[in-house]
Amino acid sequence: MKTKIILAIIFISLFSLLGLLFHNEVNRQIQNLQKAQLTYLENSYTQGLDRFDMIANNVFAMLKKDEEFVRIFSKVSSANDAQRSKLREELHRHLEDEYERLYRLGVRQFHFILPDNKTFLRMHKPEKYDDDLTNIRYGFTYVNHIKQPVSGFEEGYTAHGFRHVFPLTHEGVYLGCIDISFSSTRLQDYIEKATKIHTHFIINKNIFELIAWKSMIQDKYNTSIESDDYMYAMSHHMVHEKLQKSEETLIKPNKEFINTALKEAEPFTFYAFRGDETYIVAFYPIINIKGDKVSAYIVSYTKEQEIQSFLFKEKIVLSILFILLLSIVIFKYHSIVNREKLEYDLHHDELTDVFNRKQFFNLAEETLNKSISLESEFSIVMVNVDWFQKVNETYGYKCGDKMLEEIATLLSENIAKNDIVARYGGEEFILLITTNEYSTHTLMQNIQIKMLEHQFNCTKYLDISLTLSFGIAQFHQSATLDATILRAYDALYKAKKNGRDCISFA
Amino acid sequence: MRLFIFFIMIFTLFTLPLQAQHHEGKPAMVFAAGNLKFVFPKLIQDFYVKYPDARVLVQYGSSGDLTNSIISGVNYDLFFSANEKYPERIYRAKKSITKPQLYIKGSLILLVPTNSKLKEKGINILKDKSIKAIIIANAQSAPYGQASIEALKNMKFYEMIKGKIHFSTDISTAVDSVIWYDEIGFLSKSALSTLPISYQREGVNWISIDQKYYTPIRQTYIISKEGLKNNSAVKFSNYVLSKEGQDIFEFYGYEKIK
Repeated sequence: MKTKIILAIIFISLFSLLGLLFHNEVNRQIQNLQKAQLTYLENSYTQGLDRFDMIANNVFAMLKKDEEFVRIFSKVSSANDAQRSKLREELHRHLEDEYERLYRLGVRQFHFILPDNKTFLRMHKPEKYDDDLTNIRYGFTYVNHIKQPVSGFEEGYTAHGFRHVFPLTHEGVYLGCIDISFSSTRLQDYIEKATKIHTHFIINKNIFELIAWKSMIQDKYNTSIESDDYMYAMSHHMVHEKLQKSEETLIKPNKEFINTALKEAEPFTFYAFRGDETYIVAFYPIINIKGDKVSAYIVSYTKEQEIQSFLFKEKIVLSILFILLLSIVIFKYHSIVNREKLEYDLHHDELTDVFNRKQFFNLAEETLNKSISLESEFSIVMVNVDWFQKVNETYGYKCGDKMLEEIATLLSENIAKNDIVARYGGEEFILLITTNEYSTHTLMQNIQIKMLEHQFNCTKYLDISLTLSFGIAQFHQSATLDATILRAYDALYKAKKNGRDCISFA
Repeated sequence: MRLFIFFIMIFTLFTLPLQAQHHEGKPAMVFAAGNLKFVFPKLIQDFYVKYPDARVLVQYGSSGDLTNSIISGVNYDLFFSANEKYPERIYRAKKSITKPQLYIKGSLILLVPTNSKLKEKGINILKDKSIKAIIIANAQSAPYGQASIEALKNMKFYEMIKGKIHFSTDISTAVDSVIWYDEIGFLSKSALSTLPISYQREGVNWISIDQKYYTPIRQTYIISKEGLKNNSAVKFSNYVLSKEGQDIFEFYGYEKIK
């Protein structure tokens, strides 16, 4: 039992340890895949922003060289309202075709702002002008103040976009700034084609509260499937059926994790299953034009079958490990049990299951040594079954053997834990009792009584009782074991001579 | 293809009666090759200034597809093709009353990404390993696509780069591929008019393909029997050939016929 428990503990510990190590390794590999996906999303996003920068810079560079544009715009600051109105129309006419071409290229807002942060002309909404954007668009306030270009994600009156605001100076006079903006949908298009990943934007609902023209934006956004606190821009990228499927399979089981992670404003990923497919869902926080992390994320859903292959491998390896360890433990258990049985057989009498003669001498030598050093007492008792030959002849050897077994049990059960009982040969037993001869005598008397009361199995319906003769010799410090046994033998002989069923001292 | 023909038939059926209510005579149904998508709005705008009572309805498509539609029985008044071959086919099929007539000559350019060192490399930029794709109009149905393949073969580039060729159905997609995705494209010179000024710099953003490498792109038009009876159609075809019309074409990158 003890061996079983030890082996079970070893098995559980080894399996847990190796299983944990392998599980951690699989997790590490999956995390690497997730990390790689996040880096890929970040790089794709940055690549898209670089492309926006490049196009916006090109457009602005040409605009600075456009003499007609500079001529018109430089007159604005000194013009009165009526003159401004004419200049606005003139500028709109001049740039109309160019805006159409830019629009085709993906530019959504082409916007001219005066140094006091007031709109002079929105090419995308020419009827709306003169509104003060100081508290609405940080980018304009910053550029008008610092006179350095700035770019990044920024909320606006009606939409969010990737803005590029350039300061314009002519002959030392600061004229205002120019905004060239792209939509997030354009960025999604770019990422999808250039880096082959499907993305979308989610924006915290709080931001919508800050937008002045709320009524105009309602139709463009829906509550995000990822979090109820977020909205996403509805674009041609959003396929309703796919979204519903993703919400059920990928998002719902991870919603709590997503909501917690979104509060951190840090990049994060997780993986989930949709049918037979595994997806890595990555969230990358958007930095706004101020350099702050805003409550907006670019999110990608990427199929990653390698995760499934890792998980499958994990199952296989853990199963093999389980079977292997179990086999080793079972093998070890059997080998220990066999060894223990061999050892037991070597030390025990085959018939009576008490110690054999050889083991008795081993154990008795130990007791003797202890006794010498501790000066303690012990006695040797030779026990012989009286008239046993007759029992064999009357009831048969089988019954005789059974009786010997029962006598051995009786002897074992009626001596102390530290005492020894062994079969010395035939119907003879030898006892080592760790006390002096008198106490031993009392003990033997007790055995004698037990013997009288004992009903042997093979003769239980017959009124038969067996008796034992005892020869006791107490060990003397100067004597040897053999000499003490010999004395016990003499005492036994004396008991036999005295009519059997009695106890004699040496 | 069937869908395309169906679409054109529906378009014809539903738009003609509507337009006819507002103007004198029947509007002219004009079929035009894809490369005219950008010049025609300006041309029509000026045409209306000169002929305020005339009306034209334009359907754009690849010359090959439009030709198939006409031969299949779709009604039209005028067809402005991107080459001579397709109008000739229609004429032979007895679906036009006039022989194909030249109205403009086109030319090919190579549009490249902004930072591609076009000045140093010239046409050899086609060999540049950083170029992942070369965009060409569909060579089966678009004459500019056919001319591009012909030029590539004559310049001995075709075998080298044929694996990189991607066919595009319209100019906007081709332009988008160059500006956004660093691909390069063979386009009609007129496509430049669709680009912001900052992308129209010769030698930086584009170079001409020497005309010796491809069969001259002679864009011809034809008039149907009905078209000849339609005042707007006749006036419009005359306007296309007029000095004003030809000047507009020239402004948009075409070569005048006179």
